[in-house]
Amino acid sequence: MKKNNSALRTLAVAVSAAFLLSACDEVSLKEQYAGDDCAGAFTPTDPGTVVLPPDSPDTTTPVVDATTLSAAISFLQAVRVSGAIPTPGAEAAPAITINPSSIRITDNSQVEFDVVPDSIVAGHYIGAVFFQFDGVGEHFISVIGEADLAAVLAAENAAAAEAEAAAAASPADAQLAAMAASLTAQAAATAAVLAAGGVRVTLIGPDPDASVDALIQGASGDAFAAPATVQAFWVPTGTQPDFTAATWAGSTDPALWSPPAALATEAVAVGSGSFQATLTWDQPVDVDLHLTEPDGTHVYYGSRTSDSGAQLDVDDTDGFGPENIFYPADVVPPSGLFQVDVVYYAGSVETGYTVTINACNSSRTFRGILTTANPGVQVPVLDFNFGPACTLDNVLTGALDEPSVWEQALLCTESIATAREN
Amino acid sequence: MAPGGMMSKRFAAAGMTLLLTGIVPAAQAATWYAGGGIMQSDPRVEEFDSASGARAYIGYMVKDTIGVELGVQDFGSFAVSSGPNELDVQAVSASMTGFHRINDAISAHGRLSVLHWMIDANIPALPPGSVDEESGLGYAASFGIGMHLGDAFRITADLGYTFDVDTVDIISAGAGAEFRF
Repeated sequence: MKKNNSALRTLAVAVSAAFLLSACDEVSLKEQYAGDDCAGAFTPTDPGTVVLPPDSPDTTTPVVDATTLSAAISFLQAVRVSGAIPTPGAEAAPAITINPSSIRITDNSQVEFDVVPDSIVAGHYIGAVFFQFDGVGEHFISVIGEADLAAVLAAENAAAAEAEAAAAASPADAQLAAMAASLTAQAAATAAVLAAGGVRVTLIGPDPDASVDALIQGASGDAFAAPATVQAFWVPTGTQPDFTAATWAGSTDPALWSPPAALATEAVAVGSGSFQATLTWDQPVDVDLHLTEPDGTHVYYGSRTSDSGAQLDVDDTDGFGPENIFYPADVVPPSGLFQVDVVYYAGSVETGYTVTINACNSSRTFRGILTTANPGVQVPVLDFNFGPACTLDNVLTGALDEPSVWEQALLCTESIATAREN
Repeated sequence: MAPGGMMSKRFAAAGMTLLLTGIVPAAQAATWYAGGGIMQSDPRVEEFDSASGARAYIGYMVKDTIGVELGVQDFGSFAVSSGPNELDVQAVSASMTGFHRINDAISAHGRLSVLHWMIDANIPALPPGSVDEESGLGYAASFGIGMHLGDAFRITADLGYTFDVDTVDIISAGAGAEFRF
């Protein structure tokens, strides 16, 4: 027994000594979480320096009126057809409401609007939305698949669930909470459109791949009205006509055509280049677009330019937008984490918003709803890393992890905090 | 996430080995004891400096060689080496301690503790609304020796390791005194 005790004692001492030796290696939080900031958006290490390709000359026809806008614009899943919308007259299908009732289109932008009928035509769905700028000799047929909006809703629900999980992990983060509320409300609004038999139409600004500064000509903020007419066409469930044909089943049936609805479209000149974020919204309230650069520099209405070249060239305070922040094509944005946020500044009603971001040779559009509950709170839209071979993946919602208090102590710098407070 | 996850298992095993293998046969006459001391602690993170702190505890001998304790520890203020930020770390603990009388003058002890740690962050740049206090459960193990000055008093020296203080481990070395009554 005594021998056993001696052996165990020796073993205990050996294990303990081994432990104490192994404990001598300290970890580095900085190496583990390089690029972290106060909000806990963990980011990869510095992605390096990006070199832009040389600018190419403007070969696109300038957009100066409704006719040139119509020629330059496009729709998702759309057909461009000469002539006016071929309605039979005395349309008898349910009237439609367009949300929002006024939209702004800019260079490289993407605008969505929902077409919601007063009622549902039994056994039918809205198979196409017809769009025509008033006085222009061509129109568009935006073909709607039955499952399209359902797929959008599923994606919105997934995004809302992800944001809610992130907010639950950081209960003190007002920004994350606001983002989760925004996305959840947006998913609910989309579900309401779906339940009402409505559809969503996506309108894409002139030449999204252009490297020119201003396809819609004029100084930044210059605009011209281009009112449009929209009509919906109902088709039997399970079918999808060939809308490119001169006629199709039911094409002359007034009971399948909604009455024309007016859409106040306006074209606004904004800057574009190596990076562009454009915000539009639905209601006559004041919403602001914010950009935080990798070094914490904050670009917004109160500080419109940055040393690295970012510019807020259009600010709107009374409704619908756009607000636009961009780097000119000949300016290389700094590498690292960029944060795009929106803020409900002032107003009395909630509003849907759309932010289109063009960078990293790609484009993404984000939608949400801002309520009056959190005025002044920066609602995250996209946090992404700019650099060579970058993408517009959201590193905030994609890899959110609440920072420990040790990480906050290590990584919270005065510049970042000041930028966020502003 | 916690640095030293594997180490924690090894250390717990070592501590349990010390306590459970019957190597603490020395008899103790008193049933209550109390102690305290100063310590120097170092978080196992490169970017933070070490800090001075103190601890105090009161214990009860449930067997001749085993005591249970309640204690408080102030690990001190850990400062970020390159900036103004500091973290004040305190804990309250419940421990089981095994004693081994080596000879008339020297004894050894091993201690396993469950602790409730509290961190108060002093971060001037922390954004408004951010949490600047954290608390949670961790655990610790320590070894030490004591030099007896009479039957009721001994001078102690300890080396301890505290796990999972909000994802970070802390190593401590301290000296103190213990009184039995």
